Amino acid sequence: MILSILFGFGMLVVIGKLALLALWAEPATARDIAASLIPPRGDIVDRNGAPLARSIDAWSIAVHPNQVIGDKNALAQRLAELIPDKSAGQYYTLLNSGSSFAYLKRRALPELVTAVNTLGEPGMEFQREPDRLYPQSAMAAHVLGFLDAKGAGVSGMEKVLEGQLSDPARRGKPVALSIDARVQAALENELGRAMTDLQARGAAGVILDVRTGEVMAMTSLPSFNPNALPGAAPPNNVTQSVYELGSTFKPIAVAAAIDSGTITNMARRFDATKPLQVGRFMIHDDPGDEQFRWLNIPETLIYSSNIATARIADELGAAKLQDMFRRLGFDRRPGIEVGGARPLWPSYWGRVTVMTTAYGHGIAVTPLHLANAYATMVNGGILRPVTLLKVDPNKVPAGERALKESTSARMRQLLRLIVLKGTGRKGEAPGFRIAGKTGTAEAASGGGYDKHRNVSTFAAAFPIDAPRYVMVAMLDSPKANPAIGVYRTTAAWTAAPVVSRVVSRTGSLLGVRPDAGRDIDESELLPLIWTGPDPKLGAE
Amino acid sequence: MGVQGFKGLGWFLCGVVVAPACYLVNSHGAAEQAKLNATKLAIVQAQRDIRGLETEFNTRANLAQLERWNGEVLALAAPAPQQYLAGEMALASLDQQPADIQVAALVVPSGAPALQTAAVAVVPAADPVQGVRQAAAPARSVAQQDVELRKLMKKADRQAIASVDRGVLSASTMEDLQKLAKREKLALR
Repeated sequence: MILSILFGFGMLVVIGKLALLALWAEPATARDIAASLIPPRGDIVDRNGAPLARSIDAWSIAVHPNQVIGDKNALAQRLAELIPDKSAGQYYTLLNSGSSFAYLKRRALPELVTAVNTLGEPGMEFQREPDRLYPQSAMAAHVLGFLDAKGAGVSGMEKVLEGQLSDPARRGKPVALSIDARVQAALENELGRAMTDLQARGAAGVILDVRTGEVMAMTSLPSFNPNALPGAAPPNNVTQSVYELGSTFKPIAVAAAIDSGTITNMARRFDATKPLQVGRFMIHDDPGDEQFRWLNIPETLIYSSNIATARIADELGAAKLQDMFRRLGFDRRPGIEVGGARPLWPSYWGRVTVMTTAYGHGIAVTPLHLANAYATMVNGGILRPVTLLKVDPNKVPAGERALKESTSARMRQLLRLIVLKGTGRKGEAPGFRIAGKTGTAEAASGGGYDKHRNVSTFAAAFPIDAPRYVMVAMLDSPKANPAIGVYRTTAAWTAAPVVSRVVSRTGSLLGVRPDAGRDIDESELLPLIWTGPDPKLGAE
Repeated sequence: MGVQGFKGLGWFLCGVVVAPACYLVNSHGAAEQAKLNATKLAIVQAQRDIRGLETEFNTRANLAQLERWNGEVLALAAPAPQQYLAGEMALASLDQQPADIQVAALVVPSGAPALQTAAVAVVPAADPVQGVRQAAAPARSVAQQDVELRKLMKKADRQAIASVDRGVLSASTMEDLQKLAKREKLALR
């Protein structure tokens, strides 16, 4: 009786389990199939969907030294021939270590896997394991960053997006960056060429959309290949290095003066006849740029006069200049996802500091700070946060007003004049209406300045009649190269041509149609430029 | 009462015929489901392969590589601003040539072979033999021309292939392709 009850109970359990399975278990295969398409780590693509980082199934070759049955000496010899990463002696030691598992080669080529397989050693193991591939190799390496050995992002957007890229619910959908791969490639190519031609120590370049704050391209040289990083990655000079960016600050000082009402008349002249003595400090104009006369506002920028800018800043005063720098974000880290360096903000704002910071000495910011400041200057005066993620055109951040609309309009005219008549002429790209300012500062070195090393920068906006993009190109310590027609190391000779070439190549990709028949109206400023009997145009 | 007697048979039939039939339908359904899953799996596998190949193409033809090819072989440059047109009006006006420019195609060079229309000239029906003779002469020259043209084309083809061999694809890529071709040929045997 008890036996039959037990038997009956057992049957009941089996039937109950079967019923449960029949009713609620969904076919496992269907779910698995759908899940197998989701990569182990999400893809990163550019703004047009071109892949920048992908997860692939890579081969890895491993060995179980305690399971090797063949001649270990011969095997070590053959392995050293096939995988020359280690010597035969090292392989022999590894095979005799008695451990249970060791990688011989990760991310192996299929040919190598076949070759090692033909050795016929049962102690070998061949695995497919997920691996991160950057199809464009070194392109945008600083933006993308890289992973550590465990597959977690340690720098760049890989680190910023770690949560999203590794979340099973969200990683199926690729993350679109604001970068345009084609523009990025052109920028890297041109900057790299300039760097090698001019033997520069480093270079940096960034292109910003002035309407949305999106970074269309950002590069820093020397770069690295995130697929095979040999050691520590070099810093991102666009966001992590601060520089005294020299004369590129002059338009900002002038904008502060116009915006605050210190200067209301573009024809107002400032004495640049001789160097300006302030206490024990002497402010000169750069050799070759001296005009030895009184300069009005457009002329001050066209000839890049330190003396006249210092006089403008002196009249403006510390409070208003600092206020402008703060509104442009020069007192804080750049608000970009990948983070950045804190600017070197003067601790004491004496009269000399005010005068020198107005022409970009005594204050150090990142090239990204400068690019965003120029974007604000030309886009109608709105400072927007800079982003590396693609921005939905309907959800553009409102930003905050840093300059009056009228100041921005005036700055567009002034910046265009610098390219048409002044130091920025080599930065012009036919049809693209470039406006911008050159800046050459002596490189800081050992607590002072190195007179033989320049940081040459060109900050530009285009097309200036309806600004869309800002580009900053910077070369660290370029050398003159007369063989290719570069006789000086100033920005006009080094950085400006890079901008010209990059804009010529990428302008139309960025949606700007070159048109030689259009330009901003600067007719009210043109009569202010004195073109006397022997007009001396600014060289730098 | 008689019906009651068949009750046992009814149960028997149910057990022997209906239940296996139901099971058969069920198992058929399961088999179809399995086939469907296999197809789905194959589709997913194909999608994965496509992804893998796309990645490989992207990697092999990355922008730095394209730039190198462009620098070495293609030498393409960004279009100049004059090559952009303002709109449909500008496009339409592109076509309007000034009157004094002679279009090359209108100038027939002296010594050019007679136009081919001679071969299909209307032949008077009265003398068909003569007509054939007349037509045959130009027809032969046309055939000759064709042969020469074909020769030239072949030569140009050879040159084009040679140039592809030399520069556009790297030596290793060509080797890879040749190896693959050989392997495919062997597989077909």
